[in-house]
Amino acid sequence: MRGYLLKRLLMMVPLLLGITIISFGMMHLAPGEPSVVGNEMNPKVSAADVERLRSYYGLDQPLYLQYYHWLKRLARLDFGNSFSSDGRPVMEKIAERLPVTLWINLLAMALILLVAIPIGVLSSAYQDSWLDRLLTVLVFIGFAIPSFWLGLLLMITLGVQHGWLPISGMHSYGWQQMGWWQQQWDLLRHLLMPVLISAIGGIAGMSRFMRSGMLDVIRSDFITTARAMGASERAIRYRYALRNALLPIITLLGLSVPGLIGGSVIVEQLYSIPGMGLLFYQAVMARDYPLVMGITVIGAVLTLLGNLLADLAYGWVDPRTRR
Amino acid sequence: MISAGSVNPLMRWGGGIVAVVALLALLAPWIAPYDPVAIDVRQMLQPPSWHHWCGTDNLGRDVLSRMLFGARVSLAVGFVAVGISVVIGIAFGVVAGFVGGRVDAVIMRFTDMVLCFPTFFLILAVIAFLEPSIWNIMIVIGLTSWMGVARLVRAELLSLRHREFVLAAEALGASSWRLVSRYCLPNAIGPILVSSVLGVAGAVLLESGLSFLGLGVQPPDPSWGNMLTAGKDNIQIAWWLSLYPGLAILITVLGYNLLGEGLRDWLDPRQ
Repeated sequence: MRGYLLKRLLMMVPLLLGITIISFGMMHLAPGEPSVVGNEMNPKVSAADVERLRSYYGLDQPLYLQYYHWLKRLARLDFGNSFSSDGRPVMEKIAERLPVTLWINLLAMALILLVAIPIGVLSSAYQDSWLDRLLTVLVFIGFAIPSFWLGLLLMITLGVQHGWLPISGMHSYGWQQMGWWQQQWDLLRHLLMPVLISAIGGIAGMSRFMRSGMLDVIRSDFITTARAMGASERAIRYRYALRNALLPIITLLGLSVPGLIGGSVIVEQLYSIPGMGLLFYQAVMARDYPLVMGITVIGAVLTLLGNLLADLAYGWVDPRTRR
Repeated sequence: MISAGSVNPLMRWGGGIVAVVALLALLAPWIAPYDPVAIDVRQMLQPPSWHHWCGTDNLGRDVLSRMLFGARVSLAVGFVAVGISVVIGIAFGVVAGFVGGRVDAVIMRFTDMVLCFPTFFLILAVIAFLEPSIWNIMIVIGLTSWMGVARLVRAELLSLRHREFVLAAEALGASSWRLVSRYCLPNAIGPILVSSVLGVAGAVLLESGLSFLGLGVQPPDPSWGNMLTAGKDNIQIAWWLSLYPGLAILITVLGYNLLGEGLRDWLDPRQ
């Protein structure tokens, strides 16, 4: 087990290297540099000034040298300083934004499992009934719906027209003065819509997967055997079939991590939530190279960890994969 | 081969939606009631009425006309992006599946790497650095969505490569190029088609997201995504700016998804 874990962790290194090379390369090959952006129209900034800025940020060196220096610092977990005017370390900026994003995505995952598994099981249990048809239609709509549009509609109906839920940020005015319980309640109300919007695509995908998984398992030999031995339909469905159909869900959950992390850019921008997604959006807009690279690496590490955890969990629940 | 009886309801519905949307996009210049970029300050933020079926936006432009022209943008991005991704996917898949061995291993590891990459981050970064435009959107979406096709083509080629009819053609002296293009690929066309149709849905959705963030099609050119940005900016006063363009995205994506799923069932006789 420990050997397997070590091997998997070591395999992440070349993957991460590849990802950083691709992003570093694409970012720097694209025209437009931070020293030029915002200065090109300014008559007071001379060519010499631009050169000085470039050498200050190390942008005058050849690309492979820049990458090498960046990598050398990365080995010490130092992502450098942000190019923005506050010039704070990238690590610090990410660290204060990451928890919000992680929480929203974890809650979204929980919501996906909580909703999608019952939908899939119900759909398969009543295959081809009106309930199954209705759920299938809803799932297809869930696939096709642009999450940010659903977010906008929810903001209009729940937020603007009825005023039931706040439509932006994480805290109400006067949050500092509230009691602890009130603060948690306030936070929950702010996070409700973002979590729902993050989860919607996953719910559609997962419930469809769950449905076909259940139908596959129901058709397998050991279920027929159980039935022949007189097990009740209930026991067959929930004790035998469900447990087997849940296995691939774990893998799917691991694979959904990049989508969730990518989606947080849109969700956080929509609801003005100060998380990593919004930070990334702002960094990209300002061409803050170190910050963009830092967040990309963190995003990739989270994705790889998600896959690893999914594989480990799979091995844990499915004795057949253990050696 | 395609007769009305053999086509399943998914295909009929999906195909119908796809055809209608394509027709509306094609005919946009003739059926749009107003100029999609004409600003009319006297008609700012009008709710839906007989004159403006879907209302007007914050610059007094007709929302319905902008949606019709937006359909052209969305479909163009969808088709070109998928075209690029299919070409790349086939190229990688053919080389991996046909040559095999170490080349196969390298290409598949590379594919896995791109798959576990938060692609949306990469797309955002690249587009922001390249200056957002419709062309860059097409290219970047195409460059980051070829993995499915590559895996699929590789799998098909692996199973076709050693079939009798391919081996027979090889024994008769057919070149590698001929083996792939005449004997292997035509047999893989079904799954590629399904994946492309579903890919268009994905690309349309992705484009709308990017345009919504301001990194896609740039105003004043209409796109469903950037119209929703205006919807967000006027969320307190003008619900119609948010409702209709999103509905257009939903219906279009739904159409391509249904068509793709229907095609998959139709091509797979086991179901």
